[in-house]
Amino acid sequence: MTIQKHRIQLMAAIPAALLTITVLAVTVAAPGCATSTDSEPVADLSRAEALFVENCASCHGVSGDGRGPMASLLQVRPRNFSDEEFRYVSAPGGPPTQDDLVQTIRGGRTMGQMPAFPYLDHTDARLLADYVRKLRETGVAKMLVVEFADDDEIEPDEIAEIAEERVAPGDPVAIVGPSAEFRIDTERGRALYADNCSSCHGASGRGDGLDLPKDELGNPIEVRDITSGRFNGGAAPMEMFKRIRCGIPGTPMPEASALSNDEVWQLVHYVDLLAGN
Amino acid sequence: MMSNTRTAIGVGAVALACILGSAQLVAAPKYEVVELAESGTIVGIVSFDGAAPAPQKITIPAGEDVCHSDPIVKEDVVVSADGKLRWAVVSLKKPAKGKAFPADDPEKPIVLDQVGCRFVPHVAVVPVGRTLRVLNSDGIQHNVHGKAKKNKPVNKSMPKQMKTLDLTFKRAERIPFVCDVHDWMKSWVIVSKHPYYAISAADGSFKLDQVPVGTHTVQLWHEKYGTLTQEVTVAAGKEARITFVVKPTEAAK
Repeated sequence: MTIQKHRIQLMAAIPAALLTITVLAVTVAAPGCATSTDSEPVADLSRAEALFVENCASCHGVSGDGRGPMASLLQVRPRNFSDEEFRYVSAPGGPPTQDDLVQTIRGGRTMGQMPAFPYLDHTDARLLADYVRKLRETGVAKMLVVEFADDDEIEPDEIAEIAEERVAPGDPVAIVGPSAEFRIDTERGRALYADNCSSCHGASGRGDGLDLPKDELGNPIEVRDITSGRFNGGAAPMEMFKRIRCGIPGTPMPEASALSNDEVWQLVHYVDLLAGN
Repeated sequence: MMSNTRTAIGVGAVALACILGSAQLVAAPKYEVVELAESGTIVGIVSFDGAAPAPQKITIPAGEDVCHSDPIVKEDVVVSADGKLRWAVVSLKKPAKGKAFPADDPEKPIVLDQVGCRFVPHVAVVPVGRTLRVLNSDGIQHNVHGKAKKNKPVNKSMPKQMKTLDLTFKRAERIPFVCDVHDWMKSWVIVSKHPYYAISAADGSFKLDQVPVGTHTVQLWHEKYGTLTQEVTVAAGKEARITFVVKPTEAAK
């Protein structure tokens, strides 16, 4: 009988160069030990790469690991595309659609330090969206190699396939406006908030419902103080609807799949009220 | 700068491709369901080699009464008075073929319930593609957060009026499930490609039946103590007895 470490120390055996892998890792065939994937390549890779280096790498790092030269100066840690889910999605539970990524790139994130890049035209923003998705796909493949190196339930030739699956754009939720019968009902909104939101966001919305909330990497995160009126995903009603319906992947914020559209809209209005609007 | 970047990308690509490529040499065969003309049984015990740790009672913050209906004890290490370990996952390692899963019965789905702010059972086994029915017997707000890595992670709100949530998983994986609202709640969902799985009971016992005749590797996995394996030979119509001894000093994590 032998005891094995479940999480083997393969990381130490991975060449340091692996830490710099980016998009080509799953699209380039290496002589003698080739791998392949059905994943769509980025349309204009060299332009996408140049755009990323020029606009994103100073914070997110050339490989997208969130460790660019500016990262240590920022109060809000830049996203590590390798290890972390994309947060702002219009598909329940994620992953984001291409439009979601384009929206983040062109509009920025109000509460983080991610600036807007409105001068990027739509074509370039889409190229960048595809590129960061590829960075994430490579990160997932790397995680799978390390995590499941001694797991007999994984078929090794599944790794590229799983990585692709894990980052492929999700099906966007239908954003349906309130029904004809809908009326703003603060009491109903308050009750829905109490049942669905207060255990994390607190009875009065101050974000004080959880003791020590953590993200997927175990880093402390804040539950949004709704009364601040500031929302990283945007305060527009449509954005609120998406946050409530789809959740925020990589955080404790779940999808609200059990609510009707009108119930979500009541919540949107009640949250808006708590936010002081 | 661009050329340096490209060089780094190229080197990294080769490294990952080599890792993936070499891993393919040990690819496991797919599991095949067959009629077993003859088979045997593996029964055993999981022993804990060391002083049984005292049950760790969780201090529950004031709040919903339902969380206080019974004292909640951590279930990651449950050792009986006579030194037997509960909630160990015992399985055949990479069986090439064998029995089918029990027929799917829509009236009796595999259940993961939320009762008294605990997940019940602590460890559930569900076949790939089959429904796991998550229940909310508590009737309070929970969130069902499955931190999958091979499958799509799931994090769905389960407010008090939502009594059932059906989930399916495409790939075999041990998935930790938590509730972020009640951060002591944790369970494991074992998604399996084959039916040769057993969870050790409170007395440490487990049983794998209708095992194909021949020599098998039996694997034990425990959330705190990692993996153990041993070889066992199964003869037709016979019971092979094995004992796993889990040594906490050799804890994997």
